[in-house]
Amino acid sequence: MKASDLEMQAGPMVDRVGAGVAARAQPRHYANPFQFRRRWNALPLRSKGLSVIAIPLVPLLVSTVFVLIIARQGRLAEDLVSHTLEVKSSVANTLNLVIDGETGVRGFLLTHDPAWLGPYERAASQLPDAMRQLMSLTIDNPVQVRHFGVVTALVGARPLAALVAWARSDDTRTTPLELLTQNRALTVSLRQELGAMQQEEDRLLVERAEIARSARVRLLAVTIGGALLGLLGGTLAASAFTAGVTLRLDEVSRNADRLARGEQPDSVTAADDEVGHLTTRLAEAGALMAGRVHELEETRAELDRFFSMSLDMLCIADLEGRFKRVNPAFGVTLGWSADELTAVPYLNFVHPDDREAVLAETAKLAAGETTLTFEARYRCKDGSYRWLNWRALPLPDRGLIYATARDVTERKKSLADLEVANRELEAFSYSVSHDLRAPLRHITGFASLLQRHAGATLDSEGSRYMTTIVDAASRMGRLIDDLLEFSRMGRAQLVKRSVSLGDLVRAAQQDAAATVPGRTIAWTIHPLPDVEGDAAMLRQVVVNLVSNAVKYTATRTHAEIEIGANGHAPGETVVFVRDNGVGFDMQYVHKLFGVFQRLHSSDEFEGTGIGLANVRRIIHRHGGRTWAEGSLDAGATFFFALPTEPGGAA
Amino acid sequence: MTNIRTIVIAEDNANDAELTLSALRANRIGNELVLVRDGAQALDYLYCRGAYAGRPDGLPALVVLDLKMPKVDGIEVLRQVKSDPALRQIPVVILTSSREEQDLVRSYDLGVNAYVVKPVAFNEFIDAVKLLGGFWAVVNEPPPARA
Repeated sequence: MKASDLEMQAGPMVDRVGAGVAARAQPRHYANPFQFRRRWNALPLRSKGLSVIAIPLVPLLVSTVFVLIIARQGRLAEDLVSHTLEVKSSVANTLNLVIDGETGVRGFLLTHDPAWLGPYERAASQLPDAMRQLMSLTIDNPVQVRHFGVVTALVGARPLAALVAWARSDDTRTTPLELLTQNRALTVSLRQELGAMQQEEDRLLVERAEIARSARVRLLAVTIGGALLGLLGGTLAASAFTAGVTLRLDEVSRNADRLARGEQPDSVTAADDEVGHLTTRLAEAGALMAGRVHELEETRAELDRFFSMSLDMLCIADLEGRFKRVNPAFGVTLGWSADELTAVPYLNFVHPDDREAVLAETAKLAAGETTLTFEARYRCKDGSYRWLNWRALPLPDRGLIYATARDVTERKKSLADLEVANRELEAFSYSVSHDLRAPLRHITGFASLLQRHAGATLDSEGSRYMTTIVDAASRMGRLIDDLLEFSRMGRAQLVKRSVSLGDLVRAAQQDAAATVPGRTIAWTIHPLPDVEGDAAMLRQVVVNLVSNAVKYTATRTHAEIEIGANGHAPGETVVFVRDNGVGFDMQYVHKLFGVFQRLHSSDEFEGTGIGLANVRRIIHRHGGRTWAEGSLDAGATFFFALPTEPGGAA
Repeated sequence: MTNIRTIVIAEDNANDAELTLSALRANRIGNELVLVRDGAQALDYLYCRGAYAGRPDGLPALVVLDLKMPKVDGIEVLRQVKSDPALRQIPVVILTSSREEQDLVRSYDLGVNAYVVKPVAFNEFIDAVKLLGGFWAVVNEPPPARA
């Protein structure tokens, strides 16, 4: 993850793809200290750990190597010093032996005492060894080798043996002056050479001692320097570790805490290492969380808007009988503020007469039942009561009820008004039934009495008038009767049970056939099903349709009437009554089932125009439908369909 | 006092009353016909009070009631007759122009003996009233008179 990616993650509205491309296109520079630090931060933790160990260790190791080298140099110098001292001792030893030999010889020469020869002989026997030792010690130094060569030559040249031999010969005549002189000269030379060797060694001693001393000084310096460098490295490493790991881990930790508290993580420097990964992931988690929170807030704000703007009252209540949250619609409808509504049990607002019902409904909700519709009166702030229709859904696990309520006061008032109007209409019908028929009856009654009373005195024209009066009044009476029947069919209680349509049709067919004994009608009655319905009303339907068929085939010499059911439609039983009568024009089909709508004059076919209206009303009350097909002078077919399952409108 | 009991006809409408009486007379029923104009008068007659305080004793053979009458309607008269042990044996016939279901139900609930809807056609009306009078006044055996 690049640094720019992290910034992108932290900022919510950045296009991710574009930012990613930008990050990949960006070249990496580490020109300044910040970049160096970034590079350090980018190192994996393992590398960081190794670096932290290496930074103090490297100077220590280097200084150790130097110490070892310098110590070795010092040791070598010291070895050389002791070598020099050894050489000096060997030179001194050699010189002593030379002097011892000479002293012994000289004493013997003077005294002839052989006792003097002891040291001479001891010196003569030891000198070769001493010379060899000196030679081996100085073989590495050309200067000394040169001196040694001279010394060897001088030693070999000394005439000591001859002098001893002279002395032993007791020759007193001559004194070997020459030999003595020669010997003296050689000895002086020997002393000089050996002294030169000593000087050379002294010089070397000074030189080597200086070397050893300076080695010790350097050793100290390197040791102290190494320790200081180690200390510095340790400090640097510690601070680098602190800056690169500890501080950033602290940041991550703080961010994790913020995240845990639900806050957004602070933006931090990104890096490629594990801490950087953690940081990035935390930032992503934070961004994700922020996104989710944002979405949630959006959704919530959206729901709140609907909650607030709803015309219906919406609320959440607990099962203890208190509103927990109500929307502003409550205030609009009832006048109470939300605080007033939630402050006391909601039963306080319920009409005293409705409280028992509300408690019972609440108990049902508490048991987990859903309320689809429930009405009760609630008190408004102005003291009036309004009818609320409730729908409620319980959440028993959480002890809550979610409910919506609608003010149905006006509707109930309208309903009440409608009921009053209906009652008035019933009263009117009753009045018509009683009061309107009475004068008609009187007309027919007294006209009949008059006919009977004055029949003899009336001429044929007068008789016809009387008959017309009676007939017209009777006809009006039937009209009123039919109209009242029609009204009664609309109001009478439906008593549904299983009804045999076959039985109804056969009875209607027999009755209808009986009224027209002179006519020839070919009846075809197919098997008919049983239906659910009000037997009396359905009989009226069947009687009306069958008598219509008989009536409108009156002009046919061979009338054909067919009755059957072709109800294959799902959920319906469709019954038809078909005739080959005068039929009707399909353009007037919509008038067929209307009250007082007739397609034929009453001169052609008598009737009040109520029959089919009644059929339609009855079938509608059963939840069914009616329709007709026909054509002028080519017969008609009337259909009615009844729902097969219960649930038709009552 | 004759041993043929009276027939009480309660009818507020004069025309209806005349037609009813005419129909009954056409049937040549021997019973005395008593016409009252409302339910209150009918009850006065039955309880021998008011205008009928001095009428001869004895219960009528039949009471014919219109439903819709001033003061006390037919249903109320029926209710009082059928709830009074002294009167409940009197046959009561409702003769009305109402075919209303509620009227029928209430009448039968109260124990009416017959419910006749007045036909509009006079001939049918005559036939109905004849039948009615003939049956209850002649054919039907009344309950035994009390001591």
